Amino acid sequence: MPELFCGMSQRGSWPVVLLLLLLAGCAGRLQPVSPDQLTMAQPGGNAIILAQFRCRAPPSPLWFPGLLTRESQIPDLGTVELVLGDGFSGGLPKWADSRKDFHHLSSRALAEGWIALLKPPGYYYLYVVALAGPSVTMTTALGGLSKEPSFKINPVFRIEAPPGANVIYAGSFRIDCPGWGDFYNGPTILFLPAAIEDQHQAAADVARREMPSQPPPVTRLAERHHGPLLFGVPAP
Amino acid sequence: MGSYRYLLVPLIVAGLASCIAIPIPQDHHNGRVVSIEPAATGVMTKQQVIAKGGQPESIWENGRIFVYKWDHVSWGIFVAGPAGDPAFFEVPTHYMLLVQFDENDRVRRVERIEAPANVQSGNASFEELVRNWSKGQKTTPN
Repeated sequence: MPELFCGMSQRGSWPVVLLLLLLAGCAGRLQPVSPDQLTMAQPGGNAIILAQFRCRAPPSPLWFPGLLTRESQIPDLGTVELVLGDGFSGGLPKWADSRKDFHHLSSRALAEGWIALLKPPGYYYLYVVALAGPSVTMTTALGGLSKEPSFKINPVFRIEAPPGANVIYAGSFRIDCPGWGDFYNGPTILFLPAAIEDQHQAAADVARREMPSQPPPVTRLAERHHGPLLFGVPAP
Repeated sequence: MGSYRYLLVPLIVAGLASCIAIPIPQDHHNGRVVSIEPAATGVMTKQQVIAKGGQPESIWENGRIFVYKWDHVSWGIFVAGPAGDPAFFEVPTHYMLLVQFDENDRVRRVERIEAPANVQSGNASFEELVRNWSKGQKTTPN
């Protein structure tokens, strides 16, 4: 079951309504990875982190009057949003940057669920969330928050970008995408469970097809996060 | 004093939404309050810090810096309005304990600070705060 977002105290005391409006109203498209960015990917600089995201089962369409939501960075994920945390945010999700952090390669790759991050060596924390609700009002949002004030937002996975790798394959994520019932008269933000699979051969094929000038990807599967958040530069 | 500013926005929002918002004084913590005295400097080991404070919330610079976090709640706000059930939510002040270790894994420096508002809101870098602190500089990033 998805976890209910009740983490107001973890992100300051701003009403979550502002977050909902920000996310729902500012849906942007992913920026493609430019040839220059691909060329600049080199050891010591930004690495290309390749990952694939799919729902375990097809997501149910979410549509009804008053629904406040937006579509995922990846069309097939429905309303699932991928959000990163990093050293800047102290590991907390960078909601406003969720469209800037992820890039698409080709339309074909995006349709297959492949997505790219361009990041310097470091630790990155992945949150898989869905945002929707049948009637998002201030009081329902605040009421949801107040039920579990000590709830802590935890990232699902830790992605490691070690130095010395041009292209890193972080895994193929299988997400429990939400259905209609998950939102009915309830929460507005869900943190979703996900599993990771190693599809390194498929990643190598995509990398060869999409980034022929780059060496084959180094597989560094994301770790399910538990314990302290780590920051710095991971060991190669 | 610091927590008063956190009251302002929810009260304004509540007012705009035609809700009743009543501030109610509170005095409790969310999360474990960790206290390492300055006298531990040069004496206490990393293992002793973990034994006393538990695992930190985050670890920086390859294990050289631990960060513990907790909130102190000094206000709560009761909200009621025409559009839904009454609600009560807390207005926390965010605290951190930063512990730096030397090459022998003994405490080099320890300090409790209030999380700067611009860091807490995501407008300034937490990483920069930690880096500045580790160098003995101010802990309020630009």
